[in-house]
Amino acid sequence: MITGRTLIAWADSDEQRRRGGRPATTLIAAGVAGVALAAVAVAQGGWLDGARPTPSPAFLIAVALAAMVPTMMMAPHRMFWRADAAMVARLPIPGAALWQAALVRARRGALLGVVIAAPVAALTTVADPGTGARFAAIVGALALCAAALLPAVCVGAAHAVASGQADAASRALAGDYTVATTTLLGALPGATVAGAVLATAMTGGWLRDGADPRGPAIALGLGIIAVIAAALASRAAPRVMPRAMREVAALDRQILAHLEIHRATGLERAVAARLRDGAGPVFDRMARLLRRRYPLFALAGALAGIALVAIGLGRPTDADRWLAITLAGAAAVAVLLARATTQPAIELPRATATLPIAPAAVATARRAAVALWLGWWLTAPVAIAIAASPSPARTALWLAAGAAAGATIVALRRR
Amino acid sequence: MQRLSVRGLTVQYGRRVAVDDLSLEVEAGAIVALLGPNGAGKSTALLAIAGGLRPSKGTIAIAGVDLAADPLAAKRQLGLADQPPSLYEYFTVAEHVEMIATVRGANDRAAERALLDELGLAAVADRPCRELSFGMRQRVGLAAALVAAPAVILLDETLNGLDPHAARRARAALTAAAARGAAIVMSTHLLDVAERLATRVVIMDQGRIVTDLAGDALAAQVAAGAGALEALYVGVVADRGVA
Repeated sequence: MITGRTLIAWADSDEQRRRGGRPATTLIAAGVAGVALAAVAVAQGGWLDGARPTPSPAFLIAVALAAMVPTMMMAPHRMFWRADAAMVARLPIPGAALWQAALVRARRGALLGVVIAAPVAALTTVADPGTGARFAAIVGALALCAAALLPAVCVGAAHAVASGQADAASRALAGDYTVATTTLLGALPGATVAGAVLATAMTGGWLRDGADPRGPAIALGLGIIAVIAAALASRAAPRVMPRAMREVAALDRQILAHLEIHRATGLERAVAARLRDGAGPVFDRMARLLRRRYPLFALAGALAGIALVAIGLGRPTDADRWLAITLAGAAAVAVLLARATTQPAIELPRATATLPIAPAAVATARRAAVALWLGWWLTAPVAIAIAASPSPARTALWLAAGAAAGATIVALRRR
Repeated sequence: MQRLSVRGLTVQYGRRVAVDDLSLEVEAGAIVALLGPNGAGKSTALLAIAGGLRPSKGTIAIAGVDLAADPLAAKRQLGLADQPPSLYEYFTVAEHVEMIATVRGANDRAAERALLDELGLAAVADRPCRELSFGMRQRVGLAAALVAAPAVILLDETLNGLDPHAARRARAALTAAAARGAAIVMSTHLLDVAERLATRVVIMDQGRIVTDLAGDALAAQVAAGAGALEALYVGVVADRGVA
């Protein structure tokens, strides 16, 4: 009988061979990110001068969310939108095994979040054990959400899609103007994460002095909801999971096949025309494929640019720190963009090797693609933020540090 | 006129020799059917000839251009349909073929459209490659190999999985390309296709050429009747239980 443990062992074995003996860097990257966040707290609080201030509630909430939100958002990807999903869906694997495997993957994701938050938790505990305990409680509640609540919500969403309930509801509400019901697979977990973020944001008062009674209620409530949801999902999952996997894989194949055919923009064509030694057509190809396959890169660039301008002009408290964090995120996206240009569906190594394309042309096109993204979305916002700063040199230094940190952390993560 | 010259080609994966001292000269207008059991080294040989693998030993010249000395010039004269076809999934069929033509230095959109029409791809020209069925993908791979009229065309089991109409169109397109002076090397397990289309039959086994038939010898073999090529194949290729 196939169990969840068997599935995980197969996936782990495949992953280890795919890495070709290189160590798994995800955990290391999480540790580095955690230490970097603690270093920010140390530098800001003046610990090097002997002070032992407790990190601010806003900082602690930001750390908890930075550690846990990405792993929560990845829940549907771990369960359904996996590379092996279509194959697994076709095999006669019991639903209980699929559910067990999903839970193991969710726990591993939650563990990464805990590793990121741990250094700041330790630092806070040294400064003030009470605040440290409260921060740990919030991180723990979010970890429970990542490990149990989100997988349960994903099962619910998949059941709604697979059973046709989502489709029926969509038609009842909007008639012919229905949306693809697979949207629910991302929307429902997304809404759950948004709820958890909002709830966490309300714990600031409790984190400060422990007086606000909403804090423990929220931490306890999130934990209880996660446990109850997981228990309910565990009863339904053995029945629901096989069908959900099969239907989601089939729907993905049909619905995601529809593609927006974006042509190259005037700017992209202008850049392609300026590139020499055969890099122009390669860049043109990359630019078009990137906008079709990864439209969210443009959205991320736009959001980062807007945030930089808003923070730069608004100059809230700790503006430089927020600018650095924003640019760190943008730099991380730039590294992911650079990585995407080396992999299918953007780059096909065998095709490139057999076509009259020089390796240098591919490298030039990659650099141009990343430079265009950075230049288009971030150059002006960064310049505005620096120009609006009362201390431009200090702001520029913060921005440079943020960019370096974001790029390094993502570059360390395994491919 | 010689279009493809391969001399002493050897490809090793670690200690395993996939292609062993292979030499092959192909004239303009020739259609060479490369036969052999699974694992014989056909795909590896074709990929190495196309520049997708670095040979351990040997030289390859495409239309007189040494592949190692001037790879870009050599590859401009070469079209490969590999297996599975390397397609840019988020390009439409027309865009994919246009992109291949562009990097080969061609800019004749009307000719590209005509080629798509010739291969029965006009109706799906504006559909993304990722939406296509297996047979359609094979056809797009063939179109990418044929576009811009390269001097050497390499096909790795490209005629597999085609419906009868598509197979007929593909054979016609290949015959026309050969008539224009292209040298075609196609690996296949479809012996009837080899009998109908090839002007030369090369059988590989364990990385080596074990039989090379052309001209009168091939004509005599084909004239011997249906199944004659299969009998020859079975006779020269040992059944090692790997097929």
